[in-house]
Amino acid sequence: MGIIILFLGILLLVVIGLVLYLVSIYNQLIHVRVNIDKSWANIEVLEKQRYDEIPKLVKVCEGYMKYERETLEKITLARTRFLEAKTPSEIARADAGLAGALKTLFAVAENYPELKANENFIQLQNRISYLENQIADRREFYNDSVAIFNTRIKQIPAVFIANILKYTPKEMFKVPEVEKVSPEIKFEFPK
Amino acid sequence: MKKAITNKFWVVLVVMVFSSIIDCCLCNAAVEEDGDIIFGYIHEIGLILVGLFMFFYGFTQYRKKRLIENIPTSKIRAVAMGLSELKGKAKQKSPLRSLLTHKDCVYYRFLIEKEERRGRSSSWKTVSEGSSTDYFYIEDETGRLLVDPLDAEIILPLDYQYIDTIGKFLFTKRMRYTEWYIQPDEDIYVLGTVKKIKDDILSRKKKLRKQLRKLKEDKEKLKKLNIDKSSQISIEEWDKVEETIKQEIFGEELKQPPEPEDDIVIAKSDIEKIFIISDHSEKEITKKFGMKSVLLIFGGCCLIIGMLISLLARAGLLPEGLIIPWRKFYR
Repeated sequence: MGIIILFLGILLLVVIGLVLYLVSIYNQLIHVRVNIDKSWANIEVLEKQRYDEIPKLVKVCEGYMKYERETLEKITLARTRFLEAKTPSEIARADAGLAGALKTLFAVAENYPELKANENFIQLQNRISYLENQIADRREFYNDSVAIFNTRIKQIPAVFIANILKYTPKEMFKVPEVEKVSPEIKFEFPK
Repeated sequence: MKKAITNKFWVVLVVMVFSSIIDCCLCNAAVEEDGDIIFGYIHEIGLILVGLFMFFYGFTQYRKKRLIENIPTSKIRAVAMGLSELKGKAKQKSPLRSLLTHKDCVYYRFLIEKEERRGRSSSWKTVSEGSSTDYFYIEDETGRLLVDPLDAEIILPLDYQYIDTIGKFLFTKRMRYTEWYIQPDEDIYVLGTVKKIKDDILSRKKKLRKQLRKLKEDKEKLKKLNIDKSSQISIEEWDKVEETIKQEIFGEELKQPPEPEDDIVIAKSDIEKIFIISDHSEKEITKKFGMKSVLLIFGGCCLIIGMLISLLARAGLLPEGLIIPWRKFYR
């Protein structure tokens, strides 16, 4: 009788331990999954802020860069494309276009001393540059979150629960080729 | 409030279960007329409860270990609100010196103990303990962020310990002084909740309400506001006053702009209870939590099984040789 009670006691302990362990693995998987969504949403918050700053920047530049209509139009177009993008890969592509257009604008602005001295322009340039850096940091964070998730769902015993939950590896944020290339800068001086 | 009620419920439940088990044991003991049995049962049931606590507490430590592993490190420049992990150097916000050693630091904790002797054995009794609550910064290559160390789980190695003997001849007394601290520029690890240090909108509303209340109490000023000299101040007049006060509050804020890095703080949150500050690396911290959880879970299991064996043997369900002779430990 004593042996049976002892055996049942140990069995109960093992079962409780096992259940707690499985619950903690399940919770972990949910946590790492939510982390990815949260880190993506955090990138979008900053992208939205940068997106809102662009019309102000274009407005300031318009007065000075009369002969750079093409550059300014490229930014407006890239901004519109960014607004229309829905999936992460589309957003990444549109974002690369926008970042490239902004780089060109800031490079071309070097040629306009009056614009460069304009306080609003300096403020907007700093703000956009700061936002770009923040976005880059958050993308790095997003990739770290994805890396953790992709590792966890392949580890034993989490892999069994991940299969039940139908979790598949997530795609990392890859910098499109366009963003790796330096922007082409053309100076169009009036004849 | 709800949490307090839940805690009380568990305490009452544990006491009820414990007392009912003791009742059963006492009945059994009364029959056998053996004081050792009661003594033994109390120890065994008590230690089974301790084992259960260790077992469950071990899982909370395991959860912490996994949480640390599952959160990537944020750069301070781009840190988002909510639970975040940061790594960087500790920087002082204001000058601070540790209490015992007077070392320049960003955080300290101290413990003063007195030796108490009981026969051949001795133990240390806490006389005084405390820690600093001053804010400090964590700085990485992208920026710095304020840290509020209040209620944090501090994981630090011992930095100072000194045992002093007070008195002469037979009347000597030993005191132990221990201190832990984080010095400026030390590499630190922080896992906590990033939140706004103050809500600007809420604080403006509070200021506005305060000013309006003051105004209502000042009859002379109220008379002045009544521009059309009617019997009452109209809604339009009141709106104008409200707008003027708002502008005044904004003006005051602009005169004293807050430091940008002091806008947010990493601290303990009401929702996410985890808040760790350490000068160990992330790997060392997870290793510590891992070891702790394994020891607690397996230690708890062994304790439960051991006590269960002794309990069953005492109840006559297992061989008598398995009974733990508790009385011997007190001799």
